[in-house]
Amino acid sequence: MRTIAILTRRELAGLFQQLTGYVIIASVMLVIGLSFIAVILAINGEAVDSPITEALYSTPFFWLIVLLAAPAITMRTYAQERSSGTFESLMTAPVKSSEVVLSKFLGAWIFFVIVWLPFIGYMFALRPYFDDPALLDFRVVCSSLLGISLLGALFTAVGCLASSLTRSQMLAAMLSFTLGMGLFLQSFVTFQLPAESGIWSPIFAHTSMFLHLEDFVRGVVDSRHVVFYLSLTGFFLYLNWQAIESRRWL
Amino acid sequence: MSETNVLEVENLSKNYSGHTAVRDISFRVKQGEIVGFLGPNGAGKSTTMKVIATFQPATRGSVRVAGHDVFHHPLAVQRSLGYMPENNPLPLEMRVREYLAFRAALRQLPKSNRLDEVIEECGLKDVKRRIIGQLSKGYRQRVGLADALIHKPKLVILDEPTAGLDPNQIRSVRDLIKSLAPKITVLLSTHILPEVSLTCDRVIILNQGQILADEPTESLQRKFDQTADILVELRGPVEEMKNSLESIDGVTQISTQDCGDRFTQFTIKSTGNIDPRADISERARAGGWPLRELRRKDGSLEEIFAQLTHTSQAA
Repeated sequence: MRTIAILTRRELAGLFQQLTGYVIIASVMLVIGLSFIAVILAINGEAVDSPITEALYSTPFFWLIVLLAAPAITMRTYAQERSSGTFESLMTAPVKSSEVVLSKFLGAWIFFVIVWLPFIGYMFALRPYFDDPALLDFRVVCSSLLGISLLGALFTAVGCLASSLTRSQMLAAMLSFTLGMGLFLQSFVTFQLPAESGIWSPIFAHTSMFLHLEDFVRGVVDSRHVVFYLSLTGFFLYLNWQAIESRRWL
Repeated sequence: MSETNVLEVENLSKNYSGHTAVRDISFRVKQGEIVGFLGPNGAGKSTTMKVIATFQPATRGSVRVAGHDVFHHPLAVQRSLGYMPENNPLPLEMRVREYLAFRAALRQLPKSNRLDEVIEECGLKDVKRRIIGQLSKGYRQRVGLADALIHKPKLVILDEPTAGLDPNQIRSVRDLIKSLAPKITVLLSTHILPEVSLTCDRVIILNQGQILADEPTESLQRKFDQTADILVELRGPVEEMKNSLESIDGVTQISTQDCGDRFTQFTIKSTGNIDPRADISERARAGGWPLRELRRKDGSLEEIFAQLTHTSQAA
């Protein structure tokens, strides 16, 4: 446990010690700001009948952040260490590869969550302008953030896997973006399928990123969705672990 | 297992996708020894070191560090091992002390003054707050060394510790390494030959993944001395001097070169165990030829290496 704490701290510190981290924070703040403006324009003068977080979630900017921030944060995790050679000194220190995998993931994931924090601020900046406080409930903001964090965990795990497969940060970013985009696009399949497509329709509905996140932004924390995200995250972390271990049997 | 062997390598082979980097090598390193791994680039030095340091598994054979098998008990090996990989990779954005503190924490060392002690030992006191990326190569090398030494390991593996340093930096790194013995056992690799004879007690010469020689530095040096060329500079009639020198017992071959100032330089090859130098000086005196130089050429290990690799290729 102590090793994981030390390595996670190091990962986080690394993100804050390099310019990349600040570039990511600044870009995400910009895009969250844009989505905030989009939300205000959309609800201006209109009657609002669903939580404001749902409006935010349905702007395209939301997915832009998820799809781009995760690869940008995770691309350096392994690729940079491999190309600079520090991976060798890390792996020859008395640490288990599972500890390395977990702490690199945790570091990147915590950073992902930090990057989203301005979102809470925006929500509360809007609060005084709503007649119905139910539309902007603190609990709904929290469940949204939980949903975003879980989705972020999945995309971060995908990004870590991509980074562990290559020495090039660029390639790692492209690979994790492609994988993330694949997950994102397959979420649309369920809407495109004809109703009589039998077994496929429920399968795609169950694996849709959208449908799983929808409940969170409405303020519903359903354990099915939590399990969905956590199990997929676990699956990608397992692949990540195997990729790191592979140097022992290749 | 013998108590005194810190490192035991047995029949180690390592293949990389069809290419054999290390071929069936075995050697042992005793407590307190400084052993030099010598060989041209691509001889398998780094590969062997990576296997010992648990970074890569062996294809065949076994390696034990302080009695622990590197494949089956990597954590135990990693605890008793300090390793400085090739090119001494360091996180350039960190500060010296911060990095060493991180490495000490990773090794779960108790908080003590060991950190400052190793900073002092490695001469990093003046730069401990500086960012590693801004340090000179010599200082970075010391940071790598400090990292390898911080937990007082039984065995330190240094992959080309002096590569890319200037002569002063090389000397200070060398002194640092020598100061470790006999408490710490060192295995270092290099392709710079004089370094081995200055630093190491024993040399293991590797070429194309195989051990060509494994001997104490002194005995290897002595072996070479017996076959080394002799350099003589004499003034006098060239042909006459040459004939006289050729008739000396043990001399096999002579080449001459005009020095330009009426002196002639002779390079003499002799057979193994006969030293013809006394005879040469005798002949010069008898012939009345002024003698201004008479010495063994000290190509030292370089020549040994050329000889060894040459014979192995011929075989």
